[in-house]
Amino acid sequence: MDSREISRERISAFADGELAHAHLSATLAALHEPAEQATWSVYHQIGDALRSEEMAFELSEGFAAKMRASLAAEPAMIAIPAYANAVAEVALTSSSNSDNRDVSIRPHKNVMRRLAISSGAAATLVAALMLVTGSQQSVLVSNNTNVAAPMAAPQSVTNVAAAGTANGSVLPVSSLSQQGEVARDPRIDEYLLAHQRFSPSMYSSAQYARSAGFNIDSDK
Amino acid sequence: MPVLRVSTLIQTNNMRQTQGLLRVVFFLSCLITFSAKAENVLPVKVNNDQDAQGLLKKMQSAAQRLSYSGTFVYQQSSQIRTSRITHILSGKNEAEKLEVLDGKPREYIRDNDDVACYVPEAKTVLMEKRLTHDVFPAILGANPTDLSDYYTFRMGETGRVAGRDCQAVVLEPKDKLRYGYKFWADDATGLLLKAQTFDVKNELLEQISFTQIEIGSIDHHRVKPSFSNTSGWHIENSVMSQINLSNWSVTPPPGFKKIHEVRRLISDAPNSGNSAAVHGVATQRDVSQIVFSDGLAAISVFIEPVGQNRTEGAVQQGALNIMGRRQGDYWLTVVGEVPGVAIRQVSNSIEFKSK
Repeated sequence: MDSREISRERISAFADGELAHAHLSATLAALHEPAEQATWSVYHQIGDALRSEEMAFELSEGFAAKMRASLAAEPAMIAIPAYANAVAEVALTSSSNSDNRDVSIRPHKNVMRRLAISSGAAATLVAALMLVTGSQQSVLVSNNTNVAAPMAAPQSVTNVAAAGTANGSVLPVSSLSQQGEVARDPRIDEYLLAHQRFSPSMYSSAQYARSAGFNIDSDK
Repeated sequence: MPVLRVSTLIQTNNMRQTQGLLRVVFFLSCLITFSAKAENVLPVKVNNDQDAQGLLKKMQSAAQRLSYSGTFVYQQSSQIRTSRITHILSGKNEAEKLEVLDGKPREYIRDNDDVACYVPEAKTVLMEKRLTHDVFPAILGANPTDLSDYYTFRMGETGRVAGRDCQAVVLEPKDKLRYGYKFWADDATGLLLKAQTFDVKNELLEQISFTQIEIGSIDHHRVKPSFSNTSGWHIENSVMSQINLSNWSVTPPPGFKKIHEVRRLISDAPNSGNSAAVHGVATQRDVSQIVFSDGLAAISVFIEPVGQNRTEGAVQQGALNIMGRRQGDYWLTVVGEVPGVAIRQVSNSIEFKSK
């Protein structure tokens, strides 16, 4: 194995988060090379494509550079606790609100957190985010604020303002999906229901009751 | 500070002072123990996990052997749902009625292992076999001794729920792959009156609690369906069959055992908001499901051929975590009332072994 091969091997491990700590600085140094940067990006593309066909697309020319520039131009955001909680609490909306299902997005927590930091830059990509705050805060992402608005409790406006987001009550945020929206799949309820039938959790009675009836619940 | 000083003193070999300090430490620890006892107002012997396990067993049997009727509230985030449960044991026969009191009316009538779900607005009765003892206040079929491998048991505080004195039992997870629980048992009967689920940060995820309950003799007509005239109603039997999914290898977190392996038809109802809605027809999909449980929580793995386009990702709803991803020609969905990290771990462990 020549040194180049070893280095690529390590880049691959690094991309998968499996690099031994001892090799970290050497690998980071290697990544200064344009050739290795290309390797890094290709390995990520391979990983994405393996995980899902839908991720198998090429980023536009100079995407990384543009992203870096927008990030650099962005004012540093200091997350105050209320906002951090809201982001951490990416909750589903009530499944009985079927009317709103298709407009609600529930990205992965970590993705949300990561994206929230780069809110400005991400605006180039996508949709609007509304912070809906009840007793526990939850986050809804929508590309149609009009439809999503009725779901926001009246008090949410003040909470959002208090959350200190850079953009006032509506915070643009990106979604990883190409369309700019990851709709909450209404089919999720079917899985929840099917799961709860077997689960020993005593909450199932309450939950089960909610979604039971082969979606008959959701006609209004 | 005292710890630092002890070590310093030992280093200087000043035995006399060390002993003096140890006496102080001993005195302090006595004080702490004493105040802890005073707080609980409990005899010392109750404060061990054996008794906590015993109380859990008592809760399990109480839900089956007692007759009771009560209203309970389920709360998760800003949602609240109210239901009424009535349970009667006469001889060896168990009859139960669960009524959903908020929103659209629903009734579940159980006669031993047969469950009928009444859906009045659709004039439908769904018939199915009971699969778990999962209706509050019945909890976990698991043996508390088995649970103690993965949860630490201890007695919690005393309190009052729905007008009844009760005693709490705390189950703390020994790893990060499950949640913590707190159960309140009625002092007089052992019946579970309230349950709470906590995440790794010890924050409340969801809870369920009686607001009113009567325990004792319950009239038989109270477990009869409220819909007396069901002529013209549609009766549907749930379709489910046992299958063998040995081609799939799934590694659940430690302590989770396979409890079911079924094939089921999941219907995308016309009004569920997907593309089928346009045509007004319900489509059905063939889905395989493997269920694992540690006795308190369960994880379901759903496997189905890739059909419509979907988006991969993870979502959380109260204690429930859901993760969907595609693997080759299959769509895999993992659902469970366990932390997201456990769901991810299960999802990543799924492999198809071609023969």
